[in-house]
Amino acid sequence: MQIEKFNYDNKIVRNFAIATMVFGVVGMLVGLLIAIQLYAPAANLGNQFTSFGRIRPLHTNAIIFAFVGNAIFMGVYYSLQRLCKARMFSDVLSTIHFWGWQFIIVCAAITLPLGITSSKEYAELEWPIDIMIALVWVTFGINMIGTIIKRREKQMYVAIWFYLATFVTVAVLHIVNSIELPISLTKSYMVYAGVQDALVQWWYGHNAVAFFLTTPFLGMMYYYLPKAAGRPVYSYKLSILHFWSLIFIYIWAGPHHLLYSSLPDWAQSLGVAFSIMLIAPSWGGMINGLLTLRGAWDKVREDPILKMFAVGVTAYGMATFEGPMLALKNVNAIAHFTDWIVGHVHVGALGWNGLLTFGMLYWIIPRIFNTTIYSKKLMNVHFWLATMGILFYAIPMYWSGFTQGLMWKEFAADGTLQYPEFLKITMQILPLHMLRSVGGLLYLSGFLVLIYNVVKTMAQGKLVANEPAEAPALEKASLFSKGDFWHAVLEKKPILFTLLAVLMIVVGSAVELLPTFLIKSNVATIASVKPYSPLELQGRDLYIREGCVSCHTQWVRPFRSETERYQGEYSKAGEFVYDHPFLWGSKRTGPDLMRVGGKYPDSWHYIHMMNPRNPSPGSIMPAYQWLSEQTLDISTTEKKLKAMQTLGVPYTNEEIANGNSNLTAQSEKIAASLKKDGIAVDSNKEIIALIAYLQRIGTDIKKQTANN
Amino acid sequence: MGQFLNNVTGMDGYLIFPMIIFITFFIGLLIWVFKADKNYIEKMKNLPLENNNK
Repeated sequence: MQIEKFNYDNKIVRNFAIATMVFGVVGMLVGLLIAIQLYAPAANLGNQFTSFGRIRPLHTNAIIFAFVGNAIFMGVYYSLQRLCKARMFSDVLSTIHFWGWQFIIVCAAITLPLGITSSKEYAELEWPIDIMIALVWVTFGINMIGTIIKRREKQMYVAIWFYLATFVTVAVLHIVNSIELPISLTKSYMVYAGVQDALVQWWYGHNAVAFFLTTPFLGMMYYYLPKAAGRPVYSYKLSILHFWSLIFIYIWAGPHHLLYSSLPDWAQSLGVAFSIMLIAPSWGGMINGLLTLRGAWDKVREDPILKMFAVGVTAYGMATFEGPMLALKNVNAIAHFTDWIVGHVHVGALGWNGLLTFGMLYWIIPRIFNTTIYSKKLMNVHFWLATMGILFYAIPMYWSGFTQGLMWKEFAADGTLQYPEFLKITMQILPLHMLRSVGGLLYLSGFLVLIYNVVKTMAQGKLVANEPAEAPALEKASLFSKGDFWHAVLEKKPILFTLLAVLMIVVGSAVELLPTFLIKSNVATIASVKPYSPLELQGRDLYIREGCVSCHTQWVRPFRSETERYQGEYSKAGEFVYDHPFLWGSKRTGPDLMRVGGKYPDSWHYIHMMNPRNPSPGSIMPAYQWLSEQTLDISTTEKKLKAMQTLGVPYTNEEIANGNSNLTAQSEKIAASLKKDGIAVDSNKEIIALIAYLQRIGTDIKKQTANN
Repeated sequence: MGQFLNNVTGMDGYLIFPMIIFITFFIGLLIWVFKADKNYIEKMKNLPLENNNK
């Protein structure tokens, strides 16, 4: 057999490692800032570019796509080459992938603070960036599949299956959830509306967690954990079961984000059932990971990398048990919209993604720099800072979540709400928010210790940019032999394998999504629900720009505690048919706004937006004084109405032609009503449009003679 | 199928469909995995470790 000599590309691994560290600091710093904003509104820094609604998506995007994203690429590029016994398929593609991804991150860091956003969680970036993401992601896919095709190892190890599933599923999710109709370079409308948009969004959102934060890390767990422990994975059979059942089941569970919403009941039940089933493969994976360490626990005590892996995998187990529990309707009724969910995702992000990433950095860097780690002691310091950080983060969030959930629902003996004032409940949990930011600070400090340690390690070693290796060439003829185990055959056919994985996720997606798209009767029409006026539509876009949806839901659930608190009916599917995109939200840092229309006079909204602490002492909402200074851009009105018409909103051509004159008339009316209350503000200011929208939300149903 | 889809809002039977697909698939998978060749499993298990490059 002919032995071939080749080099592993370590430079690309080093580059992604550096990007992981740089964007990790940025993402965590922004996270710390928004955590402080939640008890000290002054931390919004008095300007629009750093207000909570705009930089909360900056934090989530930076952590998910910049920090974790770069960590995935680092881990995959290192392990894939070794598992395939081949250099990456193309150095050019590796370079395009690296710089393309960093460019996307920079675009996100610029556009999100500017308020350029689609408002859909974890998919906030506007359409030109969406296209770039798709292109760069495909570059990564081609590079990966190319490497697998030219491999010198017959079989694809379990890690590679997870990488492949990650690639194809994220591509499908991203494309389907980014179908938008552009108005300009920086603004577009989702083609889906209301309930459909919600379903697509949470099919995406849930599976972004599954296929961006989970599957690539499971793949990396199957590589780095055995490597670090110096022993093979506990059960390879279990890993086959783990892989196929996980990717099959995960894709169905999205609707658990929409329990007690106006999503059809069958879809909600589907989400619950599959979420419960998800415990099995998730725990199968966790057990496989932890049992790999059996008989090596003495090593775990000594080796900080193994400690991080062990705690990381345990955090995965906790989060994946908690997730299905949160998907039970009775638990969800209390937990949804509260800090409990924030605690839950951070156990996953800080514990699972964070600790695994740290472990990989400590493992990879000394190896590609041909040296040993600068300080093992500092690694231990980091381990404890990170672990304490997670505890100080998660425990206060759980406490706060229970408090919120129970206080929102508590009734007094006379049948009225015990705590009718939403703000009172918010003030109750502020000390817990303070503790949470201490947790974040600890975790960030630990990360800074890592950076110091890694930089010192890099400085004392020298990068082996091209690491020589050799392996026998893979002869095609010897690839298949009769009587091969079916999975063994599959592991030799990367394309077939990938197609099967696609089939798995497409079946689930189709069953989940199609009925809502095919059947009209899924969304009952309500005759009195009409499209937004031009001014309201502009106001709605300001609501999107300022990220109001980060803290305010528009989704009154069918509970007496909610219809009582928000003084109106629970939300109906038919109310959202013109909402491109939907704005139901997922978190109630402030009260729900579904029935806010007509609740307060225009002047109250004005005073409240200028300084929320004026009408509501103790409020933690940022002030939006720039809305009274900035002039509303009405050059876009016609385009926006036309786009909505294209998407099926029944605006007449006449309404579109008269868009701006209608808009002006309505804004003058609002300005006049403000003037009557002693507030002088030009009718062309942005605040007027926002007030128009706020006064409209959820009011149509009150006029109804429903036909549903 | 048309009739079925028309009534889908009240159609709990729709939920049985994914369950059946999954259970069939899972049982098939289970049988195959337990019939798997031991040598193959051993070899795959040790794949990441046989790499002598650290």
